[in-house]
Amino acid sequence: MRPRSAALGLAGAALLVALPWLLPPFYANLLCFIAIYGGVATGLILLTGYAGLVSLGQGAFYGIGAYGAVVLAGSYGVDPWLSLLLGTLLAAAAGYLVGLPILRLSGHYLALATLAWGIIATILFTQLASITGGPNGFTNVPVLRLFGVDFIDPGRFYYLTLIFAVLAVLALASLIRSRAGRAVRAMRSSEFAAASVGMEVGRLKLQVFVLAAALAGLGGALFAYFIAFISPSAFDLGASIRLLTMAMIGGAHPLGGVLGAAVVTLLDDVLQNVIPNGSGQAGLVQVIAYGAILVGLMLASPRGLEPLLSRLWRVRFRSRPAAAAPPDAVPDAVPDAVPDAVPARAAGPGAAPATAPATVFGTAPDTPAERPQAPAGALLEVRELGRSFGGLQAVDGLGFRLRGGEILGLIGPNGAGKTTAFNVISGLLPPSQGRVLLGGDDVTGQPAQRMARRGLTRTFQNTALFDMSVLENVMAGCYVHTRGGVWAGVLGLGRADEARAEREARGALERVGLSELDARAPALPVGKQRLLEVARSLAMRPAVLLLDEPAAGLRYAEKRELAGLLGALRDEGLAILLVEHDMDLVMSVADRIVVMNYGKMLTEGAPEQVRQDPEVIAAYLGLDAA
Amino acid sequence: MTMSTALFLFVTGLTNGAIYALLGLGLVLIYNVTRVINIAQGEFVMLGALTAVGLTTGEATGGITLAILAGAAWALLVLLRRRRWSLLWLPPLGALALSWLVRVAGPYHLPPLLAVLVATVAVAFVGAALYRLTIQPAAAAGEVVFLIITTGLYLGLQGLGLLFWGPGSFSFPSVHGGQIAAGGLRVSYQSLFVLAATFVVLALLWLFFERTLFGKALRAAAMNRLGARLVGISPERAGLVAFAISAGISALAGVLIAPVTYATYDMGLGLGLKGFVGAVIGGLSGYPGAVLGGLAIGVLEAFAAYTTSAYGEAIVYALIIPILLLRVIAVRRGAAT
Repeated sequence: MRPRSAALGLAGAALLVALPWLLPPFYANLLCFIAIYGGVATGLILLTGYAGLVSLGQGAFYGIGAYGAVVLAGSYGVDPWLSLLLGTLLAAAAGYLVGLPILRLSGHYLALATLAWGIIATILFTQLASITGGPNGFTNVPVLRLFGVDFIDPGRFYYLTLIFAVLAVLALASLIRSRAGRAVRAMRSSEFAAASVGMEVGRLKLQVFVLAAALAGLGGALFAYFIAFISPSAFDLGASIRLLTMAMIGGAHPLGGVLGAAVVTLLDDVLQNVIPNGSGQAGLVQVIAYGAILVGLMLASPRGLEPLLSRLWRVRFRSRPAAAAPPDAVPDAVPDAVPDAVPARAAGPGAAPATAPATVFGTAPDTPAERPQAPAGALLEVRELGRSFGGLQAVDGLGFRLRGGEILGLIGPNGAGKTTAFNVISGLLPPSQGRVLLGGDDVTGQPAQRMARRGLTRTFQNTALFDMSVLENVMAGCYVHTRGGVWAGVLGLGRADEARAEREARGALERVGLSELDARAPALPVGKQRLLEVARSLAMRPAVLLLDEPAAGLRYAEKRELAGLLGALRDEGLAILLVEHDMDLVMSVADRIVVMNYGKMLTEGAPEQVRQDPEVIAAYLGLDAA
Repeated sequence: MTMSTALFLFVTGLTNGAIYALLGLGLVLIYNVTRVINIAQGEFVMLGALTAVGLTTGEATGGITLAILAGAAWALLVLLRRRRWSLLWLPPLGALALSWLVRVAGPYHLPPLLAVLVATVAVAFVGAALYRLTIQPAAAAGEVVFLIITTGLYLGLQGLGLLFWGPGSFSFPSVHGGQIAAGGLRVSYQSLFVLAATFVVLALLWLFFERTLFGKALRAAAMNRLGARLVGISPERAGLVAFAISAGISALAGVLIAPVTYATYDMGLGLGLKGFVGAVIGGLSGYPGAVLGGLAIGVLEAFAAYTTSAYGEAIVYALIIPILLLRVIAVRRGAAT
């Protein structure tokens, strides 16, 4: 950490600790609420802001944590501190059980399912009166006490809530820049692309959902001890919407939750003070104001305060190797990697891939050995593959064998079924008939992430990049051969893996000739986006690479460089299946060519042979030309 | 449970279900044309019922006030966007003038039928204005943002309902107070009327979409925004009309249900969600499906409430999750064969 940011951090921490003394006593109450809501909203920001999963039922987990903790402590005599933990675990368990079915839904279906769950939970809080006290609430809340110190006074309780909020923010900040956090952000951009680089999209969603539920649960438990009385109305749909409003105001930034909570809580306070009390209209205007703010905010800035926060803090994903990995964390196995990586960045836009080292990943000497060894036979074998959509047979009886160290061109007129064949082979679509064998094993119908783990990956005809920096996109490709899940990300473990991933990513980028490491990937021109997808695929150390029109949108010189790269990859033993409309490119690099037309295989053979095949000419130019 | 109890529950369920069906129709209409899941759909019901009540009793006519506010905001928006005179000025200014007229003519004790008409038109206008003011500007932002916007609308409208009418519950005169007795079963004319109205609305929607050019244009805009634009159909105008019709149907539903169950400021969300469950059962894109689904939810709710009183509501909401899941699985199957 740089000295200046360390000093800033220290000053910030000191300010947070001193706040109860600096402000009038009344504000200690508000500070507690801000910290509690802030921690809960931080979880919601992970869920909504980063993973793109909208929850309108977060109040339910908040309530489960609250009831779980104080009912256990108040009615069953569990130690209050232990009850905080148990309440959190209860909420996490509820998150798991609810998330397991509903995370199969997405978009607004998911939001509505969470809304229904929130309403069900409120009904349960009200109806299970023998446990929860029903609509009258639960009052038998013990006091949190540590070494004879009571946590009743808001000025003191504040420190408990502060610890919670700070831990939540740090956990989020650590998670989003980790391997798992990158995957969470990646799946939001494109679930297909995330699966095709081997990310377990379903599991990640569930973990993120459970983590957000656990944070809500702990926040709820603290809330219950703080106000010493809870009733269902504190956890109803209104509470869920309030929490979501905080998260939306904050936006996708680690500090967004706390900031959003501060805005909403202070706004509440202002509204209560401005509107003359006694008329009973204060709460009313508050509700209308929420509605108006939520709508206005979405219209003015759908990303909330995040753009502002990012500009202020510059919490960017660092691309300097020194920052990503402390020198002592670099494993001894690749001592030369860091020095290699630095000039790679300095090389600038003019760096030609032709000058890249001869190993697959240039900078990481240990990688070729780790790549799945090409067996003597076919790496990829497709037998009688078929796929239909309703009445349309898009692929029918496709069969070929692809060995390591071979480039197979797959060509055919538009609509011949090439992309469908790609989708079936790469596991994005289950086949209707036929088999796919990978390294001799039958992998027919296995999902894309399983294929990716077995060493098969692909690029997309309409590029499917993640909305993050170029370097991070390629680091996302290292997912399959690095380790560290959501929990490791929260705890900030796995730095060594991160450093290795970054080195490999730099190597792969150098290989394809991309140097805009910090640029946002979707902002690149199309040609560079294609090269970036190739780099991301290379970072996976694949054995089989499926390229869907990699040269579309590339300029002539870039195509020549791509051809050179493909040749080099083949020479290193990679098996490449290439769909491409640029015939010069296909004919020059492919060893064999399969021609498809109307879903069926027309012919297979060497480029020269195919070029002169009358059937192929007829398919491309129309029957008369044959 | 005796046979007559079961029949009674069935008829009660159908009556409530008809309201869910009308809401479902409105939700499907909006979803088809704009891809918005409208959380605030039930608020149109509340506005319709309470405005009609206010117009007959001459007490609170918040719906008209709201229409004036919405019209003013819309007019302001149009004024800021286009300085030159155009047809776009017509809806906000016309509605503004009309609602002002209604406002200054009061206090009034309109005959119920006229009150229903005015309330329906006013709410339809509010729906259109809300589309123009909150949904259309966010058209590029995507479905999740829409969801949050309509959640905000739900909060705001419900709060305004409380502000205008207070927490009391209101009744509205029935179309016909009597009952038909058939084989020990008493069915109120109002229940029959509600059911009949549902099918009339369904038939009118069918006529609109199948037999009018504008209806077809709306369907086209729903299927493919860009394609519709290329042949001269404005998706924005289609969305505006969809919101207006949908809000109008929902307001009508509110007036129909007010004599059966009392109308309150917070009646909207529950109705809207059940209408949504019904619409999803029906496939979310088909109008007859939404009606059947809504009726099914009503009947189910009636029986669930009778057998497990406290958890009746919870059971209906709990249904949302498996129904959505089945739907997603069905869609995936459909893609796979």
